[in-house]
Amino acid sequence: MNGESTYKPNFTAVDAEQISESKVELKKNKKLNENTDFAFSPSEVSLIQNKRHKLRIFDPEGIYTFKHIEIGYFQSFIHTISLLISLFLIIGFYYLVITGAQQFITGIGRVSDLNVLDKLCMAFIALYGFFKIKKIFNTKVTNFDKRYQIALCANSLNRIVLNYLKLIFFFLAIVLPIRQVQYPEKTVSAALNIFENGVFADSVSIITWFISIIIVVKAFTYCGKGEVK
Amino acid sequence: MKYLIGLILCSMLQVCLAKESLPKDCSHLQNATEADFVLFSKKEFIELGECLAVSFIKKSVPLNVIESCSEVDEDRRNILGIFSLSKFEAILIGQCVGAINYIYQHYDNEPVSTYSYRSRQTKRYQCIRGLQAVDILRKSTAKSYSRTKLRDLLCSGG
Repeated sequence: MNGESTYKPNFTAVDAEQISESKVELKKNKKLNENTDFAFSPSEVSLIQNKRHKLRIFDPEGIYTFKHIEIGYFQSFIHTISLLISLFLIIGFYYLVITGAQQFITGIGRVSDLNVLDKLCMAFIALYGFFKIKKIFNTKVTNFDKRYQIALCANSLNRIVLNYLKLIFFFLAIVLPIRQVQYPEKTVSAALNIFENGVFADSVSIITWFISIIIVVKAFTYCGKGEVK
Repeated sequence: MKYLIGLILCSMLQVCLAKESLPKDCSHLQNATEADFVLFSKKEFIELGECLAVSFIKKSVPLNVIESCSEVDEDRRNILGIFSLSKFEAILIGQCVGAINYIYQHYDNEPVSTYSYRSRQTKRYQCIRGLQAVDILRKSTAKSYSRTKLRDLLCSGG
């Protein structure tokens, strides 16, 4: 009662067999615990199995993480088509920006209205994209290399287009209502005109260029990674 | 891929399509029309604009002063400074400055030519220039200006 047990410990009575049995049981318990904590359940495994062969269009990270899985020919075909579409969109956008910025001055002719920041950022994006795409096609990552390269390239470019569209919608969603409140009598095209010229356009352009450079750099993060020697 | 990006770069760095020839007075500034990067040649572009404005006023070719002078104002209020300046804008700024300076040099302190012999004391024009003049032109309403209109706007005493 006062801290002393009435029975003295009897060491000899304990069986050697019993010890080993209890140890095994403990181990089993531990294993069970580990299994419930860290091992994958069948549903998780099937989820990953499904993810392995999923078609990815806007997801360079997914392409990179599942780089050891072979990409099917049909998926590769879709990648190629989406790659061409995005390339067309990006180049067309650049072309429109450059030709749309040409202004006429009597006595000189057409003169570019692109400012220094626009030119620097456009040159950076074009060069960065060019070198990154070159890097994709120069690094060997897997055995089915061509399909992986096309997939990564297509996903990066699609990602850029998607994020750029998101950015445009975001800006329109913020700016158009504000303009509507300020000048209710103006049309949409007049409201869009403030993006082209004026102090506001110049101040916003640094933000948009910053965001678009981040978009491009993030989309190309996985290019040239995971090289196999 | 390589060629496509090359094409983009080419059209980006492309010199303005100089189909129109410069006025003869400004032919010494031909180099400025071929340059394309404002960071290095802002001064040349502004000089080109000034020269153009003067030759336009002399030939009475319509000159869009409002657009030019609002560009001066925009340039003054910008946070980014030269980074938000394009070649087009630089030339427009030059045109505004050139027009104002031309009117000032031409008319300031010159006797007003009146065809009446009644008044012995000849009146003289008092012209303004600088930012005040820019603001006056920016807030005016007509679309293009002849020399006399500009003089009436910028000079008093006539």
